Amino acid sequence: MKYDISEFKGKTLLKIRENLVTDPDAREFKEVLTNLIDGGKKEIIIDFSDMVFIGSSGIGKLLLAYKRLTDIGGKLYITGLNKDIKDLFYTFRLNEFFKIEDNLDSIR
Amino acid sequence: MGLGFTLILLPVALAAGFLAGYFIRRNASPTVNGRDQVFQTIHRNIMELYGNVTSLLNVEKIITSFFQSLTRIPFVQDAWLLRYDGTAFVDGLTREPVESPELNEFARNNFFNPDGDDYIEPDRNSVLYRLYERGGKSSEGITVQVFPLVYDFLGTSYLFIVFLTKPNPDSQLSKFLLFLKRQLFLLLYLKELSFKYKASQEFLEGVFHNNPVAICITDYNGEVQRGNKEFYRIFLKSFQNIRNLIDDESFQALADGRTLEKDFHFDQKNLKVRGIPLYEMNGTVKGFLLTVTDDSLQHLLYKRLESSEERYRKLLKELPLGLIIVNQEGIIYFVNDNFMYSLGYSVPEKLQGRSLEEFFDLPTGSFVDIIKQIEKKDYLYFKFQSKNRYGSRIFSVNLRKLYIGSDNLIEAAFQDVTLENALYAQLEEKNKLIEEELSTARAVWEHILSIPPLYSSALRFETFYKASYQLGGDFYDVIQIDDVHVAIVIADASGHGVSASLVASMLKILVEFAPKDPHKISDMVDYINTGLVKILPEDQYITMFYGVIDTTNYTMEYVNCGHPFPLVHDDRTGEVTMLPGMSFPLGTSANFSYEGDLKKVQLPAACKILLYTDGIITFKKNNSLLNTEDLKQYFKTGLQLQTKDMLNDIYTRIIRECNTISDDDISMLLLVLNRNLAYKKFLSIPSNVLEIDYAIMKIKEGIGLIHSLGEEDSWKIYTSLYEALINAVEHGNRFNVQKRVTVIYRIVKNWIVFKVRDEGTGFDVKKVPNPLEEANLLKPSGRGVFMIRKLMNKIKYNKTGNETTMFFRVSGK
Repeated sequence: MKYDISEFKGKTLLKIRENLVTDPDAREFKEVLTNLIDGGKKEIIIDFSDMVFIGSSGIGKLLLAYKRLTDIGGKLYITGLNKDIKDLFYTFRLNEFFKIEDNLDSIR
Repeated sequence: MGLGFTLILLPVALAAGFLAGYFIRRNASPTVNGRDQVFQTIHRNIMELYGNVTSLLNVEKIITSFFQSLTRIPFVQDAWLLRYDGTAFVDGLTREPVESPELNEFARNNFFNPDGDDYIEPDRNSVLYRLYERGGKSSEGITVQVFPLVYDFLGTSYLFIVFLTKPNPDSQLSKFLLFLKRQLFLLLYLKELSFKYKASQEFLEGVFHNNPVAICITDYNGEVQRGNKEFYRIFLKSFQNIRNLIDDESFQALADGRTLEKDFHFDQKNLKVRGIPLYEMNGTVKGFLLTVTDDSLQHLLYKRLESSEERYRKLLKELPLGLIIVNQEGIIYFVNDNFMYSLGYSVPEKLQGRSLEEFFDLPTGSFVDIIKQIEKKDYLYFKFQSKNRYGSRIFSVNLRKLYIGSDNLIEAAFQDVTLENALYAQLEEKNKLIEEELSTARAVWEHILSIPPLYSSALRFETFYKASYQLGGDFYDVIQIDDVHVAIVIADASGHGVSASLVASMLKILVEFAPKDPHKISDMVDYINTGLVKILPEDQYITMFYGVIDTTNYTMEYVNCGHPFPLVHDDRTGEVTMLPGMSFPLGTSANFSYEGDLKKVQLPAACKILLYTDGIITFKKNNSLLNTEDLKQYFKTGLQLQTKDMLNDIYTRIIRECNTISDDDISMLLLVLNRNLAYKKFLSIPSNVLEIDYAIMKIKEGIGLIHSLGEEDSWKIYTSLYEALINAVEHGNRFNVQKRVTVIYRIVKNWIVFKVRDEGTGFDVKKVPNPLEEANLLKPSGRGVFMIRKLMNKIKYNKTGNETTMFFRVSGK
């Protein structure tokens, strides 16, 4: 899995540069998130603008990260979803948990 | 038996009365000739006889006098009475045997005719005449009359036989003989009955008199009426009434109808007395029956026991086995030398009176628990360990209950098993290690046997592998060489166990690295052979069949290196043939080239090929090994089933029908070739997550030949296939690489139909939790099925739930 980690408005920005369908990719995705949370990051933005699609296991890992963050009073932002994936996220009612923003600039 | 017989069963008096009437009439007759006088005299004698005998049961006397009278009659030469008990004849009175087999024959013919006449007159050839002559007399002018007396309810019969000098005796004589017959019938009946009664009476008397328990019968006042031998032996007629023996209270209890069981002391004897009341027919007590056993006798027995116990004690002392006797609290009463020394003592007094728990760590914690267990069983086995300061020895202990006097004691035999125990523990540890190693090896082996992905449309396969208890040396593989060529390998390393499986693993590596040019099969085989010759011990070899199928024209080139002949079934003709050709096993000769043994065949357009290792043909049916012909039959029958069930079916049928089954490993590989199926694309992968990506890539390649997919179509197909395949690998086949996931797909215009099937037990799609329900929203898993439904145009499941069919419409986007 290709990704970048940077800072954005005092929050941690994780930019995913690949599709997140396969099991091994999903597992690596989870590891990266776990490391960030263990490292004390409480507000994490995940930028999916380079990702074409995500599989069910990728979504599962996203939810795990969300649960861990809420437990320690953190926040998870999602941005850069294409129309189809956004559609899928709304179908799975994921918007009720994460803040889903159209682009980075809408995050305050 | 005629009516007259039944009448005769009436009391004698009646019969006598009837006869009296008869003679009164005869007396009234004016002409009394000489013979009548004779009859009269005899009659009178008989009647007097009846009057004089004290008992009618004195049958013998009466009958004897009958016969004496009878022979005084003119014309009567002789009269016999024979008794027949169904097997042999005896004299009716003396019971001496009368030996004549012909008489038995005679009895069979004449005794049991239902409409039995009063008497029979046998013809001149009858055995009776010959018997008569045996007495030295001539039967000339003699007539025999036989009067059968049949008591079939008693199982006996009599023959009353009269020899007359006149062929047709007058009616007087006839009537008289009939009279005698009836008298005899009654008398003999009484005799038979009394005989039977006497026998049973004697038996009962025997039981009563010779009983080792003293028995007496009293009247209701307790006066002894009868006692048996033992009773008089004990009491020597010292009392006449049992109230002298038992107390008033007990007597009253008996009189009230209760049973008695009590110990009494009488004349320096300890007596155990049991009693029951005896009743009249009307229910009142008429007397009592008492049994008495003399306990003092048992005291004597105890004394004898004691002396033998002394001998026993001596024996125990020198026993090569630790032996102790403890009481219920575990306090030691007795120890033998062996036990004493094993704890490091030299005098028994130092151990006696101490508790077992001082010396041993008991497995149950305390001795009381052992006592509880021994209450349920008569003996127990335990392991005791002696405490540290007594040497920490381990003993196998056998405990059993001992009855000495009134004390409940326990006897325990100790056997020192410290050494055996240590050795056994080591052995067990080693065995465990070997078991673990073997199971790891077996798991590795199954991985080796898993067949890599296959994506040729015209060829499918099924495998069957049954490992022996040890590791096996079987090996098979189906290798996709390129888009057109598929190679098939099946091999078997000689021997079994670890070495055979190591050799087979080596083969796997060699096959992996061998040059697989589909047009130079012999190169591949030569390469493997050279490799094996280097590593194989001299007496080891490998049999192998290696073939390459060209899926465009269904030709197969192959070499058979000593392997059992594969069988080919032509689906159209139904014929099963062997693939011919045979060469040397691998690893036997270094400089051998297999090129000359190459074969090439044209396979039928639709066929099934069965490859197998010799494990299956080492089975014995009716004591001879299965041969190729047998296997052909099993194969043919199996063909009626679905492809996926065939190999299992062949195996189970062979198992069922063979009487000797070998523990070799058994492998079967079934190839299914069908050109007509080529329009459907086929792909098969082992259940490994890493193979999924490759499989989807191959499928997309296949679709790409017909449709150029847009980005949206492409990721929808990719993601759906991934979700379906990961479900099949994970939930269906549970990552078992022996099990396979197959994908079949078909493109019809702008529709694509995918079928994903696994070898699992399936699932009920209705039972998959809805990820949109409040409770499931946050669950990290369970969205796969739902996702496919969202991305594909339509989705279907088969009944079992191990096959998902997905329909996708290419949008061009």
